[in-house]
Amino acid sequence: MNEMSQLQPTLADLVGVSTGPMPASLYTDPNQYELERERIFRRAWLMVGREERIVEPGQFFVKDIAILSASIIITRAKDGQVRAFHNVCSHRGNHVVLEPEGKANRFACRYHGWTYKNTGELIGVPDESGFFDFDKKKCGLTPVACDIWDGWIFINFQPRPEVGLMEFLGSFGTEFADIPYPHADNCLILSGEINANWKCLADNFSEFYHIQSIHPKTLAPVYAGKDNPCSRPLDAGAYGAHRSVAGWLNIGYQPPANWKVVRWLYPANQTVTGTQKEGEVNPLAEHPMVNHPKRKDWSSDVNWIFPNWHIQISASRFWTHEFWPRNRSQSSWEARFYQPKATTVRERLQLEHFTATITDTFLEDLANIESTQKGMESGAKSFVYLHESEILIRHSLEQVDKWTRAKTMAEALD
Amino acid sequence: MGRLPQGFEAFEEFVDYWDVPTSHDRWMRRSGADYQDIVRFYDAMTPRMEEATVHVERYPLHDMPDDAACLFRLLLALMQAAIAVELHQASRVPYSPWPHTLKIGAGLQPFG
Repeated sequence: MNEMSQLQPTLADLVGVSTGPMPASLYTDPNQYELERERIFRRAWLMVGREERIVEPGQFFVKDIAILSASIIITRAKDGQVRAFHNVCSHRGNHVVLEPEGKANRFACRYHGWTYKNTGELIGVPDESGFFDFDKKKCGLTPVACDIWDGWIFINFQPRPEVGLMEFLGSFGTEFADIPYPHADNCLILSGEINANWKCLADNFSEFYHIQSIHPKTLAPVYAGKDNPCSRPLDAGAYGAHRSVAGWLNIGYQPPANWKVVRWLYPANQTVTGTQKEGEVNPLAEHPMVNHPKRKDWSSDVNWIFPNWHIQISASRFWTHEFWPRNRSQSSWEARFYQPKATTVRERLQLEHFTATITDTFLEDLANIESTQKGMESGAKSFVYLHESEILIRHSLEQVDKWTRAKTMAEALD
Repeated sequence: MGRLPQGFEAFEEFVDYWDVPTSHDRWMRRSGADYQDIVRFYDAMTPRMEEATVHVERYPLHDMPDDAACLFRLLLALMQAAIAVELHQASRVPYSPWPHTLKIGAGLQPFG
């Protein structure tokens, strides 16, 4: 037994979840997936990107939401407002914008040249007089509900959302507001198409239990140790449909002496994801919900916002994961690691070493995620057993189950 | 005329393979290399990495002459080689799929 295995109250008490095995069918049943499409992804507020991606008027990006067969244009217009539209031409339904991002005040469909302002209005129709009883004003881009919380842009596919973004976020939205996200305009983007259900993919990034076995060299020396060999979390909490867990840090870890490049490149006590240096005031870690237990042996938080994305935060950095279903057993994954812009050659070399480490770390995860899905597909196991450390997974599955049963949003959020 | 700054001619043999434009390219080069070739590159570069960095630091990060930029990209490739040698003692992460579908869509600049 070690100190970390005797936490009182237990994480299950803190989060208020059940303790029994969970049905594996949540990951494999086609009917479950159809319910998730209609009752989760068509009703929940979905995060599509940070505001920094479209700081200047005219900037836009396109987000594909495969589970709803949707392509969404997110724009910032001259009036400063951020808007979302279905990327679908009113003429015969072609996608209007084909670039993933860019800057343009108007969008012209390539097919027949119908042209729209970035506020949605249709402004140009070649040979317009050939259409019958035609009212251009009714033929703008179809708007999608869009709102912003703390720099995160959300959309909602209900034509008139049953609940607003703040109600959806609930206590998470108030308690986790105003986090001073550093370097939010500069990130490394890592992405992949993964052969696993979106929850199986998300689960992997939501627990520290696998660190010592899957990441023995990349992460385990820092996030596991003699006092906590299985990376038991420090703290956890549930905030409505959303959830958070705080990870442990092996204080005093030093890279081996024969790691010549690492020893040359980094000052002492620096870890892959960033730790607080002695005596350094760090606004990020001062926020009450960052390192919520305010412990010295804290590494990072995993904040899982329902249904499908994470904000993970260390003492000096933050990064996100998005888990987007493509079908029942395939998902798109995108991680963004927000990092300072290099100002010197040495800083750039550090960032490349970070890039090389973090990308290999996710390769370590990849094979296990896909083979877990395959194993569940076999039907050999009706249930999965969740450890207390896997508390976020349990809370996620309970919420997924609740939302897919709930006929109204009021019921889902109750 | 060599592709590297004067004094760093010894690295010329590594330029063709290791000097690539982006972080994703570097990741693929290292993952696809024979481990012995990675070690040879690592062993040649590490004794002179400080000296090479000092040379590259003479120029603005985003505006270097071609030869210094080439040396800089070899140093960036050394970061990839270091992961193989210092962490994995192999070209790639053990038990990881190869080839795989992960992609660095946008790296950190310059040369990311």
